[in-house]
Amino acid sequence: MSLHCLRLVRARHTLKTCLGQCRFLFGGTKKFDMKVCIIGAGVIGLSTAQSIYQHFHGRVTPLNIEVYADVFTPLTTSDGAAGLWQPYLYDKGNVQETKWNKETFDYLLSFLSSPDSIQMGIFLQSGYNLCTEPMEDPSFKDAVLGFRQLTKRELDMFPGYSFGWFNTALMIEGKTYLPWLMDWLGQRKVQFYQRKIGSFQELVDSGADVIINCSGVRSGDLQPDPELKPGRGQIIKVDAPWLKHWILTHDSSSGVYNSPYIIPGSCLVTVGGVFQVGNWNLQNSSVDHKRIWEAACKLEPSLQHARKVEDWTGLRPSRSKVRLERETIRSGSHVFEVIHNYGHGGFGLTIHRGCAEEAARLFEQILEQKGLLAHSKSRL
Amino acid sequence: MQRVKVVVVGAGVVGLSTAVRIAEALPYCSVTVIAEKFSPNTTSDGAAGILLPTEFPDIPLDRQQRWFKETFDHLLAIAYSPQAADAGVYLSSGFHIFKDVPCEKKPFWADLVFGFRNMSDKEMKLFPNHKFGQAFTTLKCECLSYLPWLEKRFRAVGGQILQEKVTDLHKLALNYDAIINCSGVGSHFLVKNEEVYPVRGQMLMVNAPWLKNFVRDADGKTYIYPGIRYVNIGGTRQVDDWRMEVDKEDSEGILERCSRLEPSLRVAQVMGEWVGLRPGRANPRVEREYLHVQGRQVPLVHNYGHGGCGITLSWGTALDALNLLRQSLFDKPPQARL
Repeated sequence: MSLHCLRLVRARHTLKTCLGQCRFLFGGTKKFDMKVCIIGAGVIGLSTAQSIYQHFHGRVTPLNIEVYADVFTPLTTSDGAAGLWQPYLYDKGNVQETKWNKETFDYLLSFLSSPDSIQMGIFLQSGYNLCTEPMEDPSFKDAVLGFRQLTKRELDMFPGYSFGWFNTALMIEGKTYLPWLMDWLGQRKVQFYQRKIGSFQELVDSGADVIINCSGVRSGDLQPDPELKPGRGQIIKVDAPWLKHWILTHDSSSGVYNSPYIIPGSCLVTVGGVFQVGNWNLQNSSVDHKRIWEAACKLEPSLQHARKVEDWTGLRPSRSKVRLERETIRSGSHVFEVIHNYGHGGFGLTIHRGCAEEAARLFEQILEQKGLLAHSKSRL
Repeated sequence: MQRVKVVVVGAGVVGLSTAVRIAEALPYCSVTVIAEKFSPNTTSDGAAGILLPTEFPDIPLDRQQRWFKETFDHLLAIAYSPQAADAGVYLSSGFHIFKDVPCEKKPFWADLVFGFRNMSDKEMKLFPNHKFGQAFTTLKCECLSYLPWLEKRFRAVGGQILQEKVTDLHKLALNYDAIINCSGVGSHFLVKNEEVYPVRGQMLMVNAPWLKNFVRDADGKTYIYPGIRYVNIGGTRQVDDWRMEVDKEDSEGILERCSRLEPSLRVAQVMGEWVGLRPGRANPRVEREYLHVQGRQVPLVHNYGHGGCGITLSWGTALDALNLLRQSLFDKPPQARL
């Protein structure tokens, strides 16, 4: 950007701040350009944009929401994920996450009674969680439908596994859900920009009032975060339409998702079982492919004659816990607000709505502090 | 040594299951299946194939349980083998829902399927017009795949196939040492037995691959059974109705009732329609009599009248038929044919 332009943008920003202060002093209606810039167009970025719009489009005018991302559907991490709603077995004390997961489940479930559910990529599917030893009840037992322990007769079908659960859960397929979200947002005049954002400052310089960082696994490029690491996953998509249940296995010795899983989708079946922390390699590995396939065929012998369609690798944004918080950043004389919403590991689709609503709550706090809301009572 | 010539009439799921069991268990028999229709044109081919028994009034419960368990265990072993896709057999979970709370809350087969339980309140919310429900996991066996699979297995042990309509069992007995009658609703004509009557069922095949769980209304007239390449939705239960043509009003009724249970069906494409005649009878007839032909006593084992439970009871009733045959060959060894 030329120096002249930069000066103009800075001047406009200063003017906006002055106007804001004037309004605070003199009250009156808010005719103020509130620009929210969301970085990331995976399920987290898009659903956060949706929540912001839903809660504030009538209360803050004009409200400009812009989404910036280097990749959009169908090339995001969310697109490759199988789409089974299921959190990790245990939240390790992060009770907020369990709450957000359940909120997402109930939200998605409410769409089942309408034909729209198919346009959103939502449907029910039952399945098995298999363990090599008795385990405590998982965090999601009350959120899902019909949770129960597996009987011995059922476990006999899965040699090597002596304990487990059965329940009916939801599927939420990224490849369908993300286009639906983009459509929903586009109809409401949300703007999309395909470009990689190098820094928060870049957006501030172009007029962003609030930045929402939903950049997933590459958040570290915007702000170093030693807790954020890639959890590399590789899957094989298979044509096996006789499979009507998902099967997840849990082996405490190999770690979460490093154990085979088979998840039928609306079209193909996702076969996986790799979770390599620290591995940034987006290339499909034939070693992983072989390991995944052999383990899956042992688990589900009928797969042996299934047609393999394609391989895919994605990097889960894994972190000890989700980073969902505000940060006020000082840059020279400027102060700007960032809401972080990243680090959802292998449960982004599972938790997205709960987190988006929480991000909207944080956004409301910012609006209140800036005096931009006509009513001080929170609606959230 | 002359082998005992056995003929099985009918090539639906009951006929082929019986033929396979006999051919595999009795190597001293040569077995021929004779039928007018073969897969994909039998009643079995159109059926959804969900393993779900109904209770027959006059057959001891333990025998009915045995019929079902024998079939369930046999198909389960296939579902968990590399042959599952070929044979068209796989696990299917779902909901059995009731508009009114039933008196009999636990059917005789509850412990034979997997994970039988009452549906939770949260699950019942999915079906606002129903008051009670049961959830369980059973098997689905698609005859479009299973019958060819059975036929392969039959031929592998030397079984013979003849395509011919049988109209006279006495004439057939001239050329065979034993007859097994698995002619389904055809028994109405073949055995001159009006105890078997058609129960007409119409069904739609719908493209809805996102549906994974079955839903069945306990009245038997509304069901959604997700299959391999399409979802079977239905149905009708029209007694004494021999019509094989598709009835447009029936189709509309099916779509309407099923869409109420599963709203996403409203946007699903209908790929086809099908009509089949269930071989209705108060109870399945699995028993033996003798035909007197040219001085010989030819055992005639009946295995028909399974209603809507043909696939569900196929392997178990086939075993009873095999045992009846084996016993009769022992009791009255076949004499030379002239």
